[in-house]
Amino acid sequence: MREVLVSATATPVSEVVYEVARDERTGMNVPARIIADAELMGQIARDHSIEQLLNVTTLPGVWGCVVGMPDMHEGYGFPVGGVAATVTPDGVISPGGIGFDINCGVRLLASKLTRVQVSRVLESLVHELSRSIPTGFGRHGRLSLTEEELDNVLNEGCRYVVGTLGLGFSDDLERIESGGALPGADASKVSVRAKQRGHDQLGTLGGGNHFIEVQEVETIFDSEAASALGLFLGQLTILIHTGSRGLGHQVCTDHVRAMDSSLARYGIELPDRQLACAPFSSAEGQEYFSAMCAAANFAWSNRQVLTHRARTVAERVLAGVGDSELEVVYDVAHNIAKLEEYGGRRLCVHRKGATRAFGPGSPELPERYRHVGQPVFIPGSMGTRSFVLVGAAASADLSFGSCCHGAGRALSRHAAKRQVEGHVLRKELEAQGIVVRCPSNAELAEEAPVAYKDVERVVHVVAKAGIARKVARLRPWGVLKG
Amino acid sequence: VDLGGAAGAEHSFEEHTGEVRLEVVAASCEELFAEAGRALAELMLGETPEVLELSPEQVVEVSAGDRAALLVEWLNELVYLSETCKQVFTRVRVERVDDTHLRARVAGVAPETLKTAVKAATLHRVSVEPTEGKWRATVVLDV
Repeated sequence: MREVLVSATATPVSEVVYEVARDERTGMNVPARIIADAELMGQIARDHSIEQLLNVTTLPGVWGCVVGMPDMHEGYGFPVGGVAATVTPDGVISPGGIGFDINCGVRLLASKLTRVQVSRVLESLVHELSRSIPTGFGRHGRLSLTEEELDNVLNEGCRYVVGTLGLGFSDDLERIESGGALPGADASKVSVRAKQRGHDQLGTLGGGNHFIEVQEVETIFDSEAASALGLFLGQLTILIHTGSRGLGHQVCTDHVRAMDSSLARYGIELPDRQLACAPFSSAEGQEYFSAMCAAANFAWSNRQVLTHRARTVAERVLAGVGDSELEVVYDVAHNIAKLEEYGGRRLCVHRKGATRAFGPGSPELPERYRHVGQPVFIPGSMGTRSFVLVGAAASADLSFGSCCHGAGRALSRHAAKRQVEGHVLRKELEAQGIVVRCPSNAELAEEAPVAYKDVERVVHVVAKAGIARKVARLRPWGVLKG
Repeated sequence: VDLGGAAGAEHSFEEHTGEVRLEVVAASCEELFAEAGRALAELMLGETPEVLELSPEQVVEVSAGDRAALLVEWLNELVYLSETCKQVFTRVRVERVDDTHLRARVAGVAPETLKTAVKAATLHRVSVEPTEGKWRATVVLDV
């Protein structure tokens, strides 16, 4: 094992960009860049994030620099909030650079109604969402797919869920990153075990930090962009945060194991075994990429089925209030690898806890959003505000077209529970008028606002760096935790 | 719920910003792996789980290239079985373990909800070592 031992010196190159030079440690192939201000750098430096980011610079074929986002925190192998691009075909792909929850991501739904209009039924809305969306461990209330249906979901993603299963509208598809279906997906590369874990998990939220939030557009920062996204002041919105569930977890498990075993064959030495990787063009690399794309399709489909469930509930609960329609604003992945062109090179861009944030004009954006940039959603911690941004031009040069993905944890779950009592937090949230549906007070405490960095500061930093523009701030009124 | 371990086997959940770092100490390698399995169940169920009926025992066998990877493989097998059998394995007996192979018998309970959903065990800084007459292990779990 090649060890990275010395603590790093990150040098400020602007108010919100730090860099660690390539000669900082032996084995670094590229420098590291961290998008943060002094306050956030102080928080980032408290755990092993920077050491983990520097470990990523040692990957064979890594290109340009690796990038840490302002919400970065310690993970396993890659830090959460890390971006690394490798040159194809011979640079590596690393399942740990995407993570176990492949295509964990966020989808925003917008109502035609205002929060004030629905205030009388808001508690019912949250309650009915919690009843219709399975969050438990058992089999109750789940959509179970046949083998053929699951393969279709894996190969075709949301095209199949909308087009064949009829769970959504054709308009939804263009408002999902990559149309909700990656072309490289191959269900035959997804193991039987992964399919066993996923067959009854489509349309489920899962645990951890996954949630559904009912919100109100509280502030508009950019009225032109907000209008393009169909957002207006006071509007009721619903934010869905979940991923590929056990299916994606097993895909990562399967391929970390395979690549850990093949490292010696490719002469790859790593400072951390969880960075296990293989050349993109190798059999191991191609099999993982095909399986990862399939798991990403499963995740988009999962959020599509949850959208369908939310629409069904809205139709029932909001019908007496007004137009109950829920439109998809956009759906972004924040744990994924994608093939993208930079400077004439085809790169495999690993985003682990980072959101794609292409600036205006990108042909990969739907026409309706091409003039404003890619919508980006930054959920805050429970009870705090979330943000809508759009990607900006500087992201291509600074961060491989990437942005932060959330507030970013600042405290461990244990530390959060030492500082916050779940029942007190529940009362505080309720005192703010927020309806909370969470299985236990302990779990509530683990996700308390104090456990996270200040999302306002994180968003301010990415805006100041020029990688995204602030569009709107969303205030939570109902939280359903997985 | 049978979460009782062997005398001398202990585990703790240590600080990690995003995930859970599990540390285990035991008198033998068999007990070390068994205690790691019981710790996984405790994490999933919480410290004071409801009393539930145990399922019949099933045999679990896993292999890996070295002992540290074997610990990850073992925990990942329990995660996979938990999700597909809708059980949490609270009774764990490791019959045999060497550098590359493990055989165990497990029985579990079927809770309605989990306290903590565990996605996987990771190879990040994983270690399994005999030190000062005891076996010690560290592994990070993605939760």
